Amino acid sequence: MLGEFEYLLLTAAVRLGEGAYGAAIRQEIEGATGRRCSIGALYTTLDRLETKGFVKTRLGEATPQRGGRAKRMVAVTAKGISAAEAFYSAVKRVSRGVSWEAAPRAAQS
Amino acid sequence: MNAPINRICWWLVDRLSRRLEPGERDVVLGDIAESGENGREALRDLAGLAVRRQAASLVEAWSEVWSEVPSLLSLGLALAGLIAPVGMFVRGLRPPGSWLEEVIGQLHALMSQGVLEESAMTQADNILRLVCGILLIAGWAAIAGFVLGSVLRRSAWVYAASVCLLWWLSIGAPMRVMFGVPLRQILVWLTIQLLLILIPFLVGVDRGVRSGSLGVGRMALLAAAISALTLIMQVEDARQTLAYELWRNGGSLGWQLVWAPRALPFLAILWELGVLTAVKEKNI
Repeated sequence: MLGEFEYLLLTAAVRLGEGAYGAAIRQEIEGATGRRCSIGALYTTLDRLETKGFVKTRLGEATPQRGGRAKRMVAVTAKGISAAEAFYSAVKRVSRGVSWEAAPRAAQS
Repeated sequence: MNAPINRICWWLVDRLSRRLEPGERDVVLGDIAESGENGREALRDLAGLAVRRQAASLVEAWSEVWSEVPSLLSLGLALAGLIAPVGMFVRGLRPPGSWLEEVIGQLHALMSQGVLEESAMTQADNILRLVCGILLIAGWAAIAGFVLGSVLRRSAWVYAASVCLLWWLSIGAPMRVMFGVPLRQILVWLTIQLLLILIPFLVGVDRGVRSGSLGVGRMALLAAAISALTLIMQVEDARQTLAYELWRNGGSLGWQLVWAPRALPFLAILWELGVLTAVKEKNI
């Protein structure tokens, strides 16, 4: 089972497709969640996903915008897509019949 | 943020990024450049990554250590078997840590009277012991740091920082102040420890992390040098003890003291065993 951040990272990488690399994934996650995504969290999670066989990474081309430094390109594997799909299905199943808008706010506070 | 602080942050980013693997360093610095972060943000990001990497390699290193526990226990038992009979002959010998006290005692003797009158040792003896003691302590500290650095690599700095902290907490100024030792004496004590132990230790860690291996030839040379220094130190130690005992007892001598010099080759063997173990560990 994936963790929340692992799922976010896989989803962002799939959305970016061929253009998925560290900085772009980070920007995508920050844009979607409105939270800061640290480089440490990003790369340690990428390493973990690669160890599990959910992504493959390689060094990409260098651009002047990056000061002539290489990118770490990310490609999600079939195993990674299955894992993300399973996670999303679980979230959908567990959320069935629950309406967050209608949930009583008083009980939470 | 003002410019000087920003410049310091970028300098720290550069220094910190050198702790990463070269490939990862390139990628991460590229990401930082692309995102247009300022120095403080870049430093926070890089520090976060470095801490995570250190923690990960620390866990990995400890896993390796735990997997080696059975073989280390066997080696320990074998060494204990060797040390037990040797211990019967080396009652007069002292561990390396006490040589620090020895060096400070010699410094005192040289500065105050030049000769330890009660032991009938000459000034040349005192200088020889002083030099040997200094080289031995620095050598032991550097080698301990080197082995630590070469075995643990990136996570070695976490251990080194822990060692420095423990060193400071256990024998540093706070403890001395509590016991009412004068400030001048504390500073002399800490300076001697800093020069003889801490700096050689940290240099050793740095060398170990960078090079990983000294090579058999250099290691053998180092082992020979330390063994020779140990022997000189112990011979001089035994001579002083004998002279003192002769002076105190008016010519008669306790039989166990005669045996101390005979145990010296065993000490050299123990040292070589330690070095060989370190070389083996280093090449894992």
